[in-house]
Amino acid sequence: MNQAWYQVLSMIYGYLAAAVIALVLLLTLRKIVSDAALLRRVRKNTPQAGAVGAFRVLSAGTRRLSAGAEIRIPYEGTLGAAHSCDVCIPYRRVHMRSAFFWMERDGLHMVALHKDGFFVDDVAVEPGDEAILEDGAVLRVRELKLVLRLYSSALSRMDTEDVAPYVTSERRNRAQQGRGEGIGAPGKGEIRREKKLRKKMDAEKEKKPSGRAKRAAGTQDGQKKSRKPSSAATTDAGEKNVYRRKRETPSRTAKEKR
Amino acid sequence: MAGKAPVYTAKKKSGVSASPAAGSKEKQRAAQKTTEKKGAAEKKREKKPANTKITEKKTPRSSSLHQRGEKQVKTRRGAKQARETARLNAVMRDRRRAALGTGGFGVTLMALLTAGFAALGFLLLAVREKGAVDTQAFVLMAVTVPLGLATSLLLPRLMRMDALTMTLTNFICSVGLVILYTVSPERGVRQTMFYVLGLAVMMVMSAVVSRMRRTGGLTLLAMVLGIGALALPLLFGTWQNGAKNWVEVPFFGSFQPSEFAKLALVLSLAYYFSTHRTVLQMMPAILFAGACLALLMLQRDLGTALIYYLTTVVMFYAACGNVPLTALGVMGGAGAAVLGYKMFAHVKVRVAMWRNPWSDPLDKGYQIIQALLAISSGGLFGVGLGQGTPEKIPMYYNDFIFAVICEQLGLVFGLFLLAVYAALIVRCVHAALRSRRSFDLLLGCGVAAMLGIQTFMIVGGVIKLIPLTGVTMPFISYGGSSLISCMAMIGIVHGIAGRAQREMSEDLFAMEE
Repeated sequence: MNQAWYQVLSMIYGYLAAAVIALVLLLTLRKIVSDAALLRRVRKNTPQAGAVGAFRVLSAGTRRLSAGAEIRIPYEGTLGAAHSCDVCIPYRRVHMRSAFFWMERDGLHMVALHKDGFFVDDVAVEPGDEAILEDGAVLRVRELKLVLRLYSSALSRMDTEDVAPYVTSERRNRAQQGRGEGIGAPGKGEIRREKKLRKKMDAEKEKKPSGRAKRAAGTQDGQKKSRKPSSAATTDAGEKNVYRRKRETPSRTAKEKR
Repeated sequence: MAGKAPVYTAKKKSGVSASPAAGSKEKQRAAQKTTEKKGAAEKKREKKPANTKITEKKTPRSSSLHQRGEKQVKTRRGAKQARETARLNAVMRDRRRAALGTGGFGVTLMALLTAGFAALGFLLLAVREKGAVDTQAFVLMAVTVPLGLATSLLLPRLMRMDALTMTLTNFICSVGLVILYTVSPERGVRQTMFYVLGLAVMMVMSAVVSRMRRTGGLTLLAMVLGIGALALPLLFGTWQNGAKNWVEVPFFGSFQPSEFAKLALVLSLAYYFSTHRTVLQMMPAILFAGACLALLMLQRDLGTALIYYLTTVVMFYAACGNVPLTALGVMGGAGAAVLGYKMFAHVKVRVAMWRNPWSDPLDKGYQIIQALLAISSGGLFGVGLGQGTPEKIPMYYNDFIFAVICEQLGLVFGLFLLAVYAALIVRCVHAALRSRRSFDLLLGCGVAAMLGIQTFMIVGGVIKLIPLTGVTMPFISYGGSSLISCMAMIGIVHGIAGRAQREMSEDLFAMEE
């Protein structure tokens, strides 16, 4: 091609290239905006999509969380006051990283990270303990009370066999060891000591007291059982072979200390 | 009374004689008629109860009203139902669109524009020589244009990839291929081969990431391989441009291991930062990043080291949101930079040339001065494809490719190209934010950070915004290692987006059922 013609054509190509890239950029921006709007609409119309459920606020000691507000729960993540948490609770009295959770077939599993722990249906869950929250369970962290609402779509999805549960094997192993992930979680030595203590307690239980003492002990146990419901975390400890720290009443621990 | 008046007036109007006798007779007849009517009415009253009369009279009126009301209610209900069905249809349409995640008309148009841009460019270059046609350019056009169209339009449907990310990547790559072929046809051909290889690597990475469930083993393997790759240049490497970061392989050529170690870094940081949330538990990843930085410092590849470091800081902040520790990390990095400035002579030279390149315009400042002159000579719309004098800029095909683009296609094109890079990074972040696992989220953020930092560093260096660092411009600069590693990173983003898309569609279908 003639050099002059080539120069003209290459100049035209330069203008065309600018027009093409401007158009590409505009279309990209349009697509990004429309995708964001679509996602927003889908989330608004179908809040169940992408979440296993929601925590509904029953009561809170802060104006930033009004009663009835809903906080969506993803399939796994952390719960706390920090912005980096997957479930961020804008309440200063909640610890920055209070718990981590994941969804399984039997419910929402939560492991306390902070030393304060939390309460599930008025049962204390200490650091390293794993609680299984079912639909309607009430979670209490200090003054904050949340009720769990699990979406049926998420539960039905969990029922299908081909879908693996949303938990990494590493997390499961840690939870099975009762270690949790945070500061204040019990270490291996503590777990060993506690297992030893539990064995000792079981051995003591096997020694049957006679007569009046037995009856009295029986009534006391019955009263204790009726007062304190067993937590969801401790009920199926044998079935799942998951180590969970045994919850102890204050009187019992005092007795052991003596 | 009202009933009688029209009778009289009618009679008057009709012109009938109004004599008193006749009038009295008429009155009598009228009186008889009224009494008869009254009598009949009384008889009716006697026969039927009082309320029946009312009902008989009022029922036709009330029934019509009722019917009208019913009709109105029906129409209102119909309109309401129509609105409700329209809303539900819109919701279902949204769900389907969200579940399928297809590109739509915009992405198709973008793919066609990209194909047109590349095809026209190669055609123009094919007829550049007087009296001869460059068949190589035709071959490149025949390879890249259909490949770009197929990967932009078909691959996202087949492999659940993000169509927009793919199209943007193809556009940037096509810009790189056309410009490289313009300035150096041999390098253009080689880069096209690397592009095809990079697409294959991208597909593999996408498939691996979207199906990956257990990440621990893979991360450990990646860490070991990463450290090994970074140690290779220290053992068998060759010095090039003041850094010992290249390894020569017989029958294959040379490659830069630090480009592939980027993947290991992002993977390990995402794994440890997502499964461990305390600083102590994050230590293995931080130590790995530190080891990588130390090895890069030994190779004197400071630009890549800076990319590694900044990516680590960004991912740390994304994982834990700890501002004081992140600030501490940034300050540590600043301290290390000062130390590097004191330790390495070539860093001092680069900083001096950044401050005033005209102090030594023929030797050390020559590169930056030529780049700035090329950008300014291009003007707003450039001197034209294949025009200008890019060969005057040292490393015009690699580090200074942005200056060549600005010279040939203009400053407007250059600025829009940076905006396209920004859009690609935004899209990567968007894909990461849509994912449901913290690992995926951090992985996507890491990739976006790495691409963004690398682009900023090289473009900032070329336009004299920051001191020049010898890193490549992602997807455009000549170099197989860089292109393949960038395509692998895009593959990671595709995998994350595909997994999020699949989970979203599963959720939506489960809800419909």
